[in-house]
Amino acid sequence: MSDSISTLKAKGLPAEALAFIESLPADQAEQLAASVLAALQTKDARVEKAMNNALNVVPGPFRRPVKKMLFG
Amino acid sequence: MHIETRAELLKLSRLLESDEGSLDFLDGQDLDQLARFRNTVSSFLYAQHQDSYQRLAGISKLVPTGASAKLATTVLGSVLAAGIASELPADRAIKLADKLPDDFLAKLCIHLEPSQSRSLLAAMPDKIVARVAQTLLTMGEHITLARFVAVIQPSALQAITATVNDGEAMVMIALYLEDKSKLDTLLGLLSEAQQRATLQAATDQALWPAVLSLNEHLNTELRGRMGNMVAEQGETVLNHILDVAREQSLWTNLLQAVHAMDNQHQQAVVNLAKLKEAAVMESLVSTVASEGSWDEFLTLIPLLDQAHLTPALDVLVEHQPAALANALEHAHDSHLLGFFGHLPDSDIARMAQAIQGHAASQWQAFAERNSDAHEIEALRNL
Repeated sequence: MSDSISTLKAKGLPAEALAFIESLPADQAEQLAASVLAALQTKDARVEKAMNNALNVVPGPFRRPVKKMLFG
Repeated sequence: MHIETRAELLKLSRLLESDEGSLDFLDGQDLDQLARFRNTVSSFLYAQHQDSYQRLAGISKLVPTGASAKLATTVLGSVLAAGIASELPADRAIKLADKLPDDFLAKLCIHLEPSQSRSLLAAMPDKIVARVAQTLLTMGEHITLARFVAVIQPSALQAITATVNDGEAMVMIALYLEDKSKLDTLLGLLSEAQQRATLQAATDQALWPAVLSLNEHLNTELRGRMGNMVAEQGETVLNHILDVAREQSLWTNLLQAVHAMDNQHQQAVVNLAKLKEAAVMESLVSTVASEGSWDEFLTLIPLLDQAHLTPALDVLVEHQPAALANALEHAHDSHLLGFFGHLPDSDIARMAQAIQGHAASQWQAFAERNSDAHEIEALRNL
């Protein structure tokens, strides 16, 4: 199993989607898994950036507790 | 690549934010399976941040809508706002939407997760949907608009279609529809002028592969009406459509369209000069045999004039006689009887010979089932 597929599995990609990826020839499976993983990272970064923008409007002293309250 | 595969891969590459064409290696995979994979991944990506969206939606409920709208546009951005909107109660989300500028709302819609936003979009008032749809049209966001079509109220859909004058956009939205059973509703709402504009766009923008492919999803009445309009576009356009059907193996779709036309238009299409070309007819018969669309093909044979019937028979009895066995196994007996009954006397002998050489057992079974049919008397006696 490739690194990308293992990572997706660890992150909880549903079994049906994993099965589809693994049904492909090895090189294609790796390419598709890498694309899904890249999308996940891009979206993570985008949401993180938007959240930081949101937190920036909270007065400094409250930022940390608000962040904890909102995002755990 | 088949046009519907191209559309599906474009949707997937958009979801994964990869370059168009970068997933072309998936060509050949089952279309339904690809769509299921895309939907599963889309839900998975949304689920990664759903908890945060829910918490932010909770906070948003405590703030006046005007302030929430201001925060959304100035601080949160369309990506986060889309996630939050999906987690808000529909009435609250609608109040918020009413205060957001159209271009921001349109960008927000692009990022909505389909499975999470279905009820929100269905509850959205017609005037907001129509406004956003216009902005999405201007942005060329056909994939997002196709998602709208699937879930919004019929009255909202009517409000959108009443203002769409772009035939190309209509074809693209239809192509990207997830549930093609909505095509009847969508195209049925268009005026005749809009339907003609859609077909004109198919010619002007080289979209016939898409239109032909979508044709199979239309009901017979709509297929016939659109088919008649196509036939009226003249020989140059019809010849181009024959080329597309040949290149994309869309003969069955074309036959279905011709089948639904009125008689006058059917005659015009089946007797196009191009259909006398052996290579064209061979491609047609070969697709018909592989897709089992004999019933659509055979019912049109009686409409062929002699100059077209002869080359069609040449293909069946000389170039692809194995197709006869396939036809005898898969076509409805009444259509086969109509076909055999329409054979000119001069072609009976060569047809009998081809059957004997390539489809003897299938013929025997067929002849036994139809022992009293006068249409095959001459063939049976040879």
